[in-house]
This record gives sequence, structure tokens and C-alpha cells, in this order.
Amino acid sequence: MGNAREENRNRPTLATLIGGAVFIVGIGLTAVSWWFLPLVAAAAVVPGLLREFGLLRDQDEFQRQVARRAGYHAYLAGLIVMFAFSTAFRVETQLEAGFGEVVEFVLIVSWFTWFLSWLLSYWGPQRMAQRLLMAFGFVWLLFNILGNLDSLVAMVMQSLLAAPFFLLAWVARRWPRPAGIILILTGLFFANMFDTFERVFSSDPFDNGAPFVLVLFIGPLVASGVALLLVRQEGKIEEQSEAA
Amino acid sequence: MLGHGQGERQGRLPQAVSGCKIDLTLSKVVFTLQSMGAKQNVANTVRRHRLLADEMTQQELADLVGVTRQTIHAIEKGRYNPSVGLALSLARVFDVGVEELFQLDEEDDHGKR
Repeated sequence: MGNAREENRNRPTLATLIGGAVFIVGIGLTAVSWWFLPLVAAAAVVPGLLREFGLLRDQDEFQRQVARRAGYHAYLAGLIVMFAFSTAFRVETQLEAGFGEVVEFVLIVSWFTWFLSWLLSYWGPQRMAQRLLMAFGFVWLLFNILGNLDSLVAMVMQSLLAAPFFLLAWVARRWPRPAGIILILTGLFFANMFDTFERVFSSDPFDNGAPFVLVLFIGPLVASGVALLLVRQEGKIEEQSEAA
Repeated sequence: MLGHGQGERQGRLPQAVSGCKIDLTLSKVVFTLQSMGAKQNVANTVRRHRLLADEMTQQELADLVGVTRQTIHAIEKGRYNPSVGLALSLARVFDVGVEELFQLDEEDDHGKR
């Protein structure tokens, strides 16, 4: 009956965990051979297909609603990107974008939109922003540790740059709106620093991977910020609810 | 039919067009009042009933009605309105009517009741 037991029961379903693990392993294995890409695809779609055919009944009605809502958001995001590229290809004959790059980008936009929307609906804006920032911080730490194994000082100094992410995660839980504004400004700062928008709307949008930076790094920051700005008294309710 | 009368020269719309505009404006006002003026939310007392029932935890309630703890959490916070079946199951657990657990909560655009 304690909170520890509640937290354990709060984890994703077994199929989701297996799908997620295979997805991550598959992404890693694509560095060895692109023939592992179907493994990633299987991890992404098989659990959903089994659920739709009624062969896997591991979600309750709230989880199903969240997944369907996220699917609709992914569909809309995918359509926007496809129409944008379709128009760009028709209007701008000098556009230098390969078919493979465009397809991968549409896949990433659709999947990532689905993922963010799912997290937002399932956890709510505060928890989503908090856990997303923690994830950013840990990924930063991991890359710094692995990249600076030969120099302890560089490892420690660069790892300190993860601290703002953890600090913002803490702020997001307690003061969602200020945290939301900081997140949006941070996203715009990085977009400006990397010249992201300028590169995305150039004749060679995939040069330096600017669209992927926009979707995988700046997008989550800005999306979390906007979600936090829309929080209505959630902090108080959440604290009361957890105190129960 | 659009003419080139005095009114148009003075920057006013011809009668047919201005009549159309009034109709459209009225339709918009009616539509706005009907669909957006009064937002219907569903308030619930699940948390209160849970605490009254020997401070039952969210997980215990979730186990009793066959959903996840996160679903109970989402219902209590008003982020999710349960299906009729789940609402009836919750009402049965607390031995109360569904109306006692869930009430229509009408708010205007400014969030005031």
C-alpha cells in the first residue's frame, strides 16, 4: 500500500518495455547494418498492431485513449511535414533534399510527435517536462563521460553543464510557468545559436542535420515549455493527490 | 448584385453584401454562444471518496476496478473522463450513485462557474 509499491505498478506494460528495448537496440544495430532497420520498425508497430487486432490486451481505457490521441497528433505532424516538402519540391526546383532524408525526417517527426503527445497526455505537462529534462541531463552526462574518459577534469567540468537541466526539472515541478518561459527561451536560444531556422528554410535543409536538431532537441524543449505555460493549478492538485 | 452606388463610393458595403455580413455575424455569435460560451467539464469526488474509504490508495482503487494507478490519478485530476462502465465500477466500489461521484461542472470562457 506504500508509495514504493504504487511507483512499481506505474511502469509501462511489458509489451511496451520490450518494444522500447528492441527499438533502442535496433537503432544501435543500424550502425552495423541498415538491415536492422526492420527490427526498429517491428518494435515501433508490432505492439500497436497486436492491440488493434485484439491479440494483446495490456492497456486500460485511459492508456488506449492516450495512444489514439497521440496517433492523431502524429498523423497531423506527418501531414504538415509531407505537405511542406511536397510544396517545396514543386515550387523550389533547386531544393537539395534526398528522398531517403525526407522519408527519415517524416518518420522521425511522426514518431517523436506520437511519443511527446503520449507522454504529455499520460503524465501531464509537469511530469512530462520534469522527466524530459532529467532525460536530457542524463544523456548529456553519459555522452560527456564516454567522450572524456581520458581526462577527468574535462569530464567533470563538461558534466557540470548538465546541471541546468536538472535544476530546470526541479523548477518545472514547483513553478511550472516560469519554467515554461525559461524552456521556450532556452529552445529559441539554441535554435538561434545553431542557425537552425535559417538552415531548415534554405535550399539544402538537411545540411548539418538542422531539421533533426529542430525535432529532437529544440522541439521537446519548446513543446514542454508551452505545455507548462498551460498548466492550471496542477501543482497544488498533484501535491494533494500524491499526499493521499 | 454588386453595384457602384453612392454607398460603395463612400466606403460602405452595398445592401446585399452588408445583409450577408450581418447574417454571418449573427450566425457566428449564435455558434460561439452555443459551442464555446459554456464549456461543460466533469467534476468528480473520487479522491474524497477514496480518502473516506479508509484512505484507500490510488493503487488499491485501481486494482479494484481493473485499471492502472495512472488512470485513477488522471481521473482525480480531471485530465480524463472515464467511460460509463468505469464510472459505474467506481461508483460500485464506493457504494454510491454515479452522480455523486461525477457532476457536470459548467464554466464560461473565463473559467468561472
